Amino acid sequence: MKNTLPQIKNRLGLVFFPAYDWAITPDHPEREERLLYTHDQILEEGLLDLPGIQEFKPELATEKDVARVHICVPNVTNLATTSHLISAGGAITAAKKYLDGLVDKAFALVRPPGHHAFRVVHGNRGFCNINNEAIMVEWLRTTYNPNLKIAFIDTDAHHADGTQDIYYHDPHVLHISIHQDGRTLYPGTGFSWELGGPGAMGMTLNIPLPPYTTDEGYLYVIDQLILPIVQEFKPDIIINSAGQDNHYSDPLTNMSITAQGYARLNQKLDPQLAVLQGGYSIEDALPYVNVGIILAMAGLDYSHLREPDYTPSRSLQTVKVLDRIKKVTEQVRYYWENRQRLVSNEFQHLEDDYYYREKQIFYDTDYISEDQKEIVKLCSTDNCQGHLFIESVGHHLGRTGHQVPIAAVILPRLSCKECQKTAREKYAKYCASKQFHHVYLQDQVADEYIHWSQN
Amino acid sequence: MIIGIDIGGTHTDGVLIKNQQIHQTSKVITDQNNLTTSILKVLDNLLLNQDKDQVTRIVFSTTLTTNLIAQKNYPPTGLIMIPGPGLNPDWLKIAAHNWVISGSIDHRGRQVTAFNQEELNQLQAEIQCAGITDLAIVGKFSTRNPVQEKQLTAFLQSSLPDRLRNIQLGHQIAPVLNFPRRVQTTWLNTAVYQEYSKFAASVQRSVLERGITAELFLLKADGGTMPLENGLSAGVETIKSGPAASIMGFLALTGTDNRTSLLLDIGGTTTDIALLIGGIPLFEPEGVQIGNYNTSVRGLLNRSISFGGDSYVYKDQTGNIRLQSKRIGPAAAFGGNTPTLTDALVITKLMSKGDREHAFSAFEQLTENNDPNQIITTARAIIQQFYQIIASEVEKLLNELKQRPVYTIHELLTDSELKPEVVMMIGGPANALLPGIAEFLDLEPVLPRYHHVANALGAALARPTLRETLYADTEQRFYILSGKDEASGKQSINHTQKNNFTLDKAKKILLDYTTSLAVQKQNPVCSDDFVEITFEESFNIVRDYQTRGQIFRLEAQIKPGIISDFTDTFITKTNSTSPLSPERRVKP
Repeated sequence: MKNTLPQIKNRLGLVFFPAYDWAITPDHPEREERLLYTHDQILEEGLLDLPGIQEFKPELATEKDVARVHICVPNVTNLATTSHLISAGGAITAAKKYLDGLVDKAFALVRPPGHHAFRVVHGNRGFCNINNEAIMVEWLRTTYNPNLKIAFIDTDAHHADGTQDIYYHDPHVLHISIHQDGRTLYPGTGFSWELGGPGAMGMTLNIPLPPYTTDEGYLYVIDQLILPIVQEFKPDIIINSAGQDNHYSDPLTNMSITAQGYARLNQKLDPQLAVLQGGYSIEDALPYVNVGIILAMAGLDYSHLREPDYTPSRSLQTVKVLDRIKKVTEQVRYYWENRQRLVSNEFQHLEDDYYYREKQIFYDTDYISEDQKEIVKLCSTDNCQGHLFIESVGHHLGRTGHQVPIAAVILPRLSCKECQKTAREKYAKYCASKQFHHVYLQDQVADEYIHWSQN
Repeated sequence: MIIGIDIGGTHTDGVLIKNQQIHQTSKVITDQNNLTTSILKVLDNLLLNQDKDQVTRIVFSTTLTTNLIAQKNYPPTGLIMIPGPGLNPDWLKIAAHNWVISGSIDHRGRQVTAFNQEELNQLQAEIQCAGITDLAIVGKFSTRNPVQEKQLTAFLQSSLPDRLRNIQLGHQIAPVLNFPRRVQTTWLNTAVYQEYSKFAASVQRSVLERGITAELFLLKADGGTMPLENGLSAGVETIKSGPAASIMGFLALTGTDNRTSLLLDIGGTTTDIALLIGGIPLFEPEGVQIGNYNTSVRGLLNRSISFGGDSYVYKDQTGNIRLQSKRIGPAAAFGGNTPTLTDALVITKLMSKGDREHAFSAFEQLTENNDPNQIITTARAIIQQFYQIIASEVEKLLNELKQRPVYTIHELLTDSELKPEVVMMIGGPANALLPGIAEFLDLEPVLPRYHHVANALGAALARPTLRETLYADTEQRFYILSGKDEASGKQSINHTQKNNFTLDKAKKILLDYTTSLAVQKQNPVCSDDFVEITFEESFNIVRDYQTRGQIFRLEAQIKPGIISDFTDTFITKTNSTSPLSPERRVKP
């Protein structure tokens, strides 16, 4: 007859911000209604009443928080609206509560999402403007400890190309994206040979899975590949970029994960922080998947959770698909184990330990095509992460048809004096060259973010 | 004439209001075993030499439900849950007899799993075997669609005729989203129902026997009244009506003060902390807690700390003199043996009543020092400790309110910080403590007149309150109103109405419904002017890039307040000319 509350293993912080007054367009998948049913389910389950689960209000990320990660063209204010700042701020709040020791884990259920936002941002792509989780990590490193080792595990069905781009040269960040094969889904990248820049080979890992991967196949990859790698990497913080579009009912993808599968994968990954990404089966998947993740993070019994049309056979994997999954797993394992011996074939070796590549980025939402040149310096000084020059032109393909050429100099927070000097000189040269509409200096060492404009 | 009676844990207070003046007050010791006796004693005292026919209204604030729950004084009561998928429901097996059955409704009110007839037959046999007569039935998302709760009731009533005298349904007793709270609220209400009905009948009978024909009301946790005879859910709705009476008392005594006010009600063993913003009390965000139970009963926000005038003073292991959150006996200055906070007030001459010598000697024993200056210093330090305890609790409460979540960009940007401007205090030592605490908190002090009968006065002058909700889903063509009568429940929207069912239409339905309920409460002080929409949201349901319908979620209320005839009568005048603070919408 006594009222025994469910036992929570981990104190869990939730930052829930459904942004009920924001949409990309009224009928866009990223619209007001997206988290409505999830909210109802969380309320009806009474999860926020459980001792140990605490809800926090998001803060607003500042312009500087954004500039620490992004080169926003033309500037932060134009690209990051209030809703984006709240979403990124929500991730920061989650991290803050965790590091202040108020909670053992935290989940930022915020929208709009962020993982398709690259370092340079000319506009919106893949429903994302700014990268919430990267802004969170850079805030953490600035506020608490510049040496934090981070492991990202991105479980959205789409390749986390934005987060990958931001951390491509950072040997302290292990970025693992597990997603539906890029040959069958937006953004068409995330192949296993994308392994990181010349100074961080193997710190970017991509695990493209075939369509119709179920719980069985997905958990196979987690157990056989991801967990051993993370264990070897020994991160200070594990972050799950928690996309929910692998669900069997998602209208935009072809994966077959269930709410049970999501809860189990979260339990296995055991992240300290989770940040919501995509997921557009807003009625049939999100309410159950989100409750599953919350229960798993808090260490509560999730065995009673299932979608209305769930049957256990949904979790099973056909032999043919499982074989393909095993092949991918072997391939990625090979790359990881041989990461010291790998030579990048994405980058061209220039003189003075500079490496160079060109890439093209398409902004599907804002209809912009970007041509980018990336020049990265590998510095031989101990513990120096070198520096990075970027030259980029945004071609606005809409009616105006205008072009915006920009240049940026990036100084990672662990850069030596020599690199700092070189980078500052290059910034001055870019400004003087008059070839660019905007020139940016992102100096993480001094936590200083400067912008020069032609007009 | 109006009478307010506050039945507290130790005392029962009464106040008689005649010609808009406090005419008579009375205080007796509460007989916990027989609340009716205490009520009658107070009534008799108040009505001595009065014309009983002139009494038009009596309002009770009672601890009955609280006591019944604390003492587990209820019959073995069953609980049937229809939890569907989600959190493991085992922890909610709070009843003597618990059943979890299959069947489920989803978040949009669609039936997902039907009942299993074999399971129902088994259930029916088990209920018969258990021999219970009281039963709560609660389904997950039953507020979105009560069909399964109703179906099960019909089945049990037909298969076990005459056995189940008291069946209560979750969607009626606790019509807000939160399944665990719905379970606890409905089950508690079912459990106390029989005892509660007996009490109501006994009060009604005794009052009638005394020849009083006034209308009888109960004070609810949200500071509003409800007719005594009208309560299916009266049981749970009256929990925590004591603190509500106190807050309504403040409102009655200072109602025109629109500044953000911190309210302190100090008693012997506890101090209650509450807030008024623009003359309106705040609500608990989810619902009132009682014992280990979380309910969805709307109640006024109140934090109770276990320090009061009788808290005793002791020396800890390191030799520091400290205030302890416990009562051993009355203050030494008032016939006790142990030094207390009240003694510290007497020693420092903040309180003029009481035996100062006794207070001194109690402190002497503690400090092992008979230097009067030293003792006065110690007493001052104790009072400072009390101020500090209050201050940190207030800070905690304000922080909690600051962290209250909001879900729209607009709200997040307009959410302003709460900053009290004045502190008001009632209770025994209010006179002695208020100047000091106001200085400590850097707030302007307001000591209401009649602060010694504030609770009874609050009960006497409280007006009815209501909170009703409407949820509409035009794709599925239904809307659902909260509440217990026929108009509530699931209503269909016919095909031709579908496109005309707008937010404005939904608002009108809810306003009309709430107003009709207010009128049913037969209270002249409750006109439809008081009904307001407190919350409205609308969402387009978009599937495959097409708008298929809309979801509307609205809430209307009659907020707690004081009967308007009396608004000016008792007000404590202050000289302040500070501007009115804007009225905040506080989401319950």
